Amino acid sequence: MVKLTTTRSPATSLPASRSLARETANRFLETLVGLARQAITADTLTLGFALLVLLKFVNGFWYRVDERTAVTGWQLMTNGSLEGVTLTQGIGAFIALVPLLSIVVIGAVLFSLMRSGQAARVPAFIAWVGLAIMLICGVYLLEIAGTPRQSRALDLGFWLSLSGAMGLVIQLYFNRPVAISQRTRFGIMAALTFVNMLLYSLTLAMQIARSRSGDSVAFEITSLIGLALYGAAIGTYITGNIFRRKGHNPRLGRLIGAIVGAFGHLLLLIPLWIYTPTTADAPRQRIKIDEITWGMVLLFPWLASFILLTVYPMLDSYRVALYNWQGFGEPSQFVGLRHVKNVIEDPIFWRSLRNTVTYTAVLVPIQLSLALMLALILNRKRMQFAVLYRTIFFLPAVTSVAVVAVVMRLILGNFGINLSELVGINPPVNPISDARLALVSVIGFGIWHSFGVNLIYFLAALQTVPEELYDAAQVDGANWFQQLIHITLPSIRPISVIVIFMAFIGSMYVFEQSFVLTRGGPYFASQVVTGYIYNYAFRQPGTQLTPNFGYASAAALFFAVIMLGLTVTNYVITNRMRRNA
Amino acid sequence: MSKLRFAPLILLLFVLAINIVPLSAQDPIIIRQLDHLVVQTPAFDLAIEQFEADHPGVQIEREVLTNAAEVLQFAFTDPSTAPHVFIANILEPAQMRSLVDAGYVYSLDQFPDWEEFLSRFPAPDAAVAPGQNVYDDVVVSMKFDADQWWHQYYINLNLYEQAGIVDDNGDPIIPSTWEAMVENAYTIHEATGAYGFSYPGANPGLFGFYWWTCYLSSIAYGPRGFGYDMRTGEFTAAENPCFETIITDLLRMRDDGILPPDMLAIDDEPNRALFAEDQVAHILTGVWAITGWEQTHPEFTNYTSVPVPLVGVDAPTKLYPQNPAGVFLSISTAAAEDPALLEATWEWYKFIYSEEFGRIWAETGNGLSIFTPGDPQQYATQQNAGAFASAQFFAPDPEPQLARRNPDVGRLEQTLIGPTEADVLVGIFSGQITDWREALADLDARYTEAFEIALEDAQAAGANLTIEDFIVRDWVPEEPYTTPLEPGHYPGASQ
Repeated sequence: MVKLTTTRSPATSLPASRSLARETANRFLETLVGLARQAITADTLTLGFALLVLLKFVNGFWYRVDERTAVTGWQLMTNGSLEGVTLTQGIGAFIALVPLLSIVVIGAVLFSLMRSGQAARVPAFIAWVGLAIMLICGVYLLEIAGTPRQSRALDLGFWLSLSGAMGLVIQLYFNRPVAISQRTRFGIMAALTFVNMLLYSLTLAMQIARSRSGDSVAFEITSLIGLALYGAAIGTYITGNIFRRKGHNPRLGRLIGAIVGAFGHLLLLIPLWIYTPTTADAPRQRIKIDEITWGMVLLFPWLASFILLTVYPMLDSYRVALYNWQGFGEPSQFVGLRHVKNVIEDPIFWRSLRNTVTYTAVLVPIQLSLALMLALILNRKRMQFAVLYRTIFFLPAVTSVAVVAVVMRLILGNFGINLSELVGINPPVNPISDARLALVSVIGFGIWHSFGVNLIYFLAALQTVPEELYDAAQVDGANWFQQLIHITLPSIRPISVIVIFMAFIGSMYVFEQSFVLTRGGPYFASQVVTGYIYNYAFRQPGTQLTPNFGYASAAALFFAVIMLGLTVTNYVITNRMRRNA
Repeated sequence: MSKLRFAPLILLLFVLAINIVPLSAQDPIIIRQLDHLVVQTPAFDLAIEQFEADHPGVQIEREVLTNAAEVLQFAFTDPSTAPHVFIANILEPAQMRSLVDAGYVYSLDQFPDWEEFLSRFPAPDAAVAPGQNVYDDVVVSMKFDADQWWHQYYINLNLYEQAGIVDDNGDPIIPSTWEAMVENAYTIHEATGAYGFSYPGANPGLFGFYWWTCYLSSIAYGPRGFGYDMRTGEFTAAENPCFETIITDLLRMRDDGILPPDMLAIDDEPNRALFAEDQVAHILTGVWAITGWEQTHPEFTNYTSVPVPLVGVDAPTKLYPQNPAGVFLSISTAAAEDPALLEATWEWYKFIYSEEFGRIWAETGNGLSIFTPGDPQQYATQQNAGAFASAQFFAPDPEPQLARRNPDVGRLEQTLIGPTEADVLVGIFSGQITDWREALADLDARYTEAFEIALEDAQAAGANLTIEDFIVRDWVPEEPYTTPLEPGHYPGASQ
């Protein structure tokens, strides 16, 4: 047994010490937020949308309007490629769920940051989470968009996913640990943004000229978010430089530019720009102003939109829980807490909750173990094609759940080729219509689809472990396994706790995997709570029943209470683990 | 370089500007329509082409969403994108009433030539009725479809011929009863290996349409939910002999391999594909499937359709409800923001309710509208025979129209807690429900409770309702029934 010593230096002194854990957590946060900043301001988003528009422009054959109609790239540009897509189902449930998820996550991490003495990072974190939620909302709306053939929505989701994936590939390629100057990054960002914006604005201009701008609510939402992002990025860059050349405060210029560019509602880019640390620039630029004051001022727009678009709808959904309401006009039939009582007494709700807990309890350990193992493999220095493997493993995570689940449903449903016969299972089984296997299929699909995200988390964590520790261990004769047990795992333990926490929360709110793959069936065998909520918020086909947002809101409310309890318990346990680390 | 330094700013301002520049006065009038009529798109395309040619300067922008009912919950929140014409026949009465209460629906009787428009309908006096297409004095919509029922059993004649189910002339023998259809299913399975029936079990809602097999052989399709007997006000699904027959047959066919073993994993479209590829002999779907097969399986034409068969009875025990005051499309108040737009919208609406569009509608395979001119049989084909044959099961006022007695019945908002009838069917078929009679009894009890609670809620919200408004004790299902207007609800009503 090799005993590791702690005599080299205070900075690299001991494995699993508090200072090491804190430093590791700091580095992880820096890496994560730095990557987020790069992704938001320049790489993934811009590249993704640029590729989306370019692909649509040059591609005249792949985009199907319906089964019989394909349009050319020029037609896409002149007629509006996203025509006919409208936000639709799932919004009610989503409105109820996202705020809860947001509050829990943000609250927990904020608390953690404050407790760990990293208050300066709070504004940046809030801004980052806010933007992430907005983007998720946008993509989600597009994913669930209904269309004449629905395949159009799936097409759209596919293209967005593909473009996102391609953007990611490029980002991973360029994000290798090669330092680029601030100026170079500005240049890349500006060039990409200008090209993208030119194509984008051309499309919009053509649409407006043809009076087709009102075709799609979702398109307008996307347009708004896209334009705001581009506008903010350009405004920040241009006016910041102008102010600097004129001898004024460049930060003020950036601020004004972003306001003009983003119409104010995406001002959260500013705190990101100012507060997030950069990983590529050396020497690192530190902000000398009163960060807390600036943070509070700059946070106001985001806080205002958060209250308006998140807190208010959430509270309102709790008000709706006291009424019968089919979604039109104002609710008028007050029923008090009866809906909550009925939810509690409904065995189907508890079955859905049991399925949700099972999903989480099985998925989280398996998925995280797989992710950690692969991360350890991919983190090896001599690993050939590591970037390629990372991209491949991450691809499912950036692929639309709905698209993949539809394909999976056709494959697993034995439509066409009978999988059971193919692999010699006798008697044949159907993994999605057999009540014993449906939930297993959903869990398997969930593990496969999103483990890439955790893989990236673990990779980022592993890359923050100081090399000196491994050098010291090797000098002391430690083998690979001993290094893993005594250096790697203790070093990434604080981050792992956060990853576990996030995976737990995300799994408890699973929806698409169950809804699209099995529709929660057969007979609720794979029903999860979010699907239960959805079924009451919207009309149940084949019945003469009226949808009831009130009942759905009550179910969401009760689920939120349960989640609050689970989250607090989870937080207490994980926080204790962190402190012990 | 210095000349270009403001170029990015100018570009930015340009982009911002094009987002706020209003349309010029020369822009065409654009009428936005939102509906869910997917396979009827060819009919609307022809109609739009003709209408736009006849009305220069007017454009119809039609958005087709299969889940239009859900979208309508949000569509009016933004006036700049709200539809001017929208589909109304997918909304529950309570939803339609809420739209009226919110001020989203433009009353059709406000148009100057309303009386002339009303005279187009076969029975103008009965074409407008409170609680049916009038809410709070707002005429929300008008009837469009002729009396053809919307779903039928489709029969694969290739399999009938291969199995030898033919007469002396070699023509397939089309079954008219459920018993004959089931027997043919067994014969076909033994002779060809194809499945006798298939239902889209992956979608519980669509699988639940299996219950409608009993429509002509049962009375358990009342206005307040599955199994409702309007004569007594009770839910009686568990005691329904027709349901017992079709459940027993479903389980027997499942165990005998007459149904696809993976049926609970098959969705609607794959189910129709299996039928068109001669793997299934009978499926239950609507006339829209024909247009779908023309697109996906153009070579497949050797099939026909029949109304739902009789199950254990010699004559129908219930007829399809006929109602002269139906709903189809509505006009929203968003169209009233501009007089020219409102006028154009009304012209488009009248065009939909015209003989010309009725002809287009029928010629493109969508069945008949009440305005389709000429002999209806000229549009009948082997494939859509079921829809035309269903017309024989319509009769004048064949069953009570509750809203005619009291329009407030539309204010009932009923929420069933727990599995629906569609879910129960999946549970039975998947083997998770072993005692189907107990499951249906439980369903009856839950529907009863939901109904009673909904009634109390409606009363508390001010609706003038009692349980008697949902019971018609003198109804004899086999005989035509003219619903009397209740004097208390209709001032001056004497009938």
